[in-house]
Amino acid sequence: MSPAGRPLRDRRASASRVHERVIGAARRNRASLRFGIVFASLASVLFVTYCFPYSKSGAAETFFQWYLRGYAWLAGSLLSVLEPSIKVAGNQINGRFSIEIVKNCDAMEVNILFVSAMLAFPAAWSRRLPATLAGLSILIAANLLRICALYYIGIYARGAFQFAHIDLFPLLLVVTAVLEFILWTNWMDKRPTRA
Amino acid sequence: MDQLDGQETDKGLSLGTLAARAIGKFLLSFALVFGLFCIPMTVIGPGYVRAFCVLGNAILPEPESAQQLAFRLDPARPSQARPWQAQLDVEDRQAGTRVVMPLETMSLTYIPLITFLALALATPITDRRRELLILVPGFLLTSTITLLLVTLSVTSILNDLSPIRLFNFGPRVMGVLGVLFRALMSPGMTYAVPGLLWWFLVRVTRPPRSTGRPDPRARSATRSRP
Repeated sequence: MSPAGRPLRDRRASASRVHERVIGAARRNRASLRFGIVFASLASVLFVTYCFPYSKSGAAETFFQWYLRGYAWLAGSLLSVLEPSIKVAGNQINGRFSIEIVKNCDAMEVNILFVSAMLAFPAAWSRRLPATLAGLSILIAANLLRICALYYIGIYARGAFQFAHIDLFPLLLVVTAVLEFILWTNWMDKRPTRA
Repeated sequence: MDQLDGQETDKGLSLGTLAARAIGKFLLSFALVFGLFCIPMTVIGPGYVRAFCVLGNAILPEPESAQQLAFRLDPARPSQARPWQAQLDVEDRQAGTRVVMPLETMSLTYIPLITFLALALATPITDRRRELLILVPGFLLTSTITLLLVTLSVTSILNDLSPIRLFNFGPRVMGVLGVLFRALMSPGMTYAVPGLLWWFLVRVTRPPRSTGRPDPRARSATRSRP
């Protein structure tokens, strides 16, 4: 029977059932929905802040240049433990292989997604903030190790550099961030609250 | 992981241990399925690029007049180093300019698709209907998103580096597209976008939690088991 041919009462009952299902699903997923909205909003704001095409001579771009130089200096210092000949000039690491640290080499997309997910998670701020900072520190350390590994891949397996840089290491960083999120949220749920 | 909802801990295992085991099992399944999809990567590259170009040329608009831009997708010249590379040829006949743009189809389309498929297939769901509800719309959505990302990257790169403009939306809209391009085309997002889509579909299709009271139908079914 076509819907137009069905009695009005049947159609109303059917519409009511659909309405109940939609409302029921929305209620069931309310916490997920809230988390999703806060996560998406935070991530959007952070991505816009990072990816905005700032003026080359503006304060924001200068800040990011300093930040990338700092990142290069950190990675260079770590590499110089094993390679004393390493020299860092601006955002370039020069040794037996040269690496230039530009935007996205800092794995900012993974950091942004992790921080947004942690801050959107419904837990006490006294747990959320330290967990977020600790998790972010681990991600930054992992990314510094990635840069060091890329330096050695550039020396000993140059053919695999592109694959490691574009495909393998981003996957490992995303998996690290997801695992960290699961572990930290588990920790935030478990820790007893003080009365 | 979703199956843990309602699982009992009467076997001497804490819920945390069960969750850790489920997560470990899921990660192992994901790694196995993802690895399986990665194995043919060295072989299927040229064939995948050819299929990508045929599909792309079928979607790309045919120029109806000399004023419009002409597009053509072709596999890049055979190369051992870049078997996954296609090239997009854009010609502005009116201005007499032509731009050839390389497209890395592996990171742009293949990896997001296999990431989603591996996540969906590794998810421990026993309900076939729910599995299909995640797999089919998810695969179609991932394909659509990758298509949009390819369009976004072509538009942004042409706008930034060439005299050819695909769209002329004005500086504000182009600025927004530029931000989207930089945010979504970073290497980590190749995995994060299908991952977020998978998470969303798993949450949305989650069955309602039981009220705590035993379901009489389930009890009789359990009793009738040998």
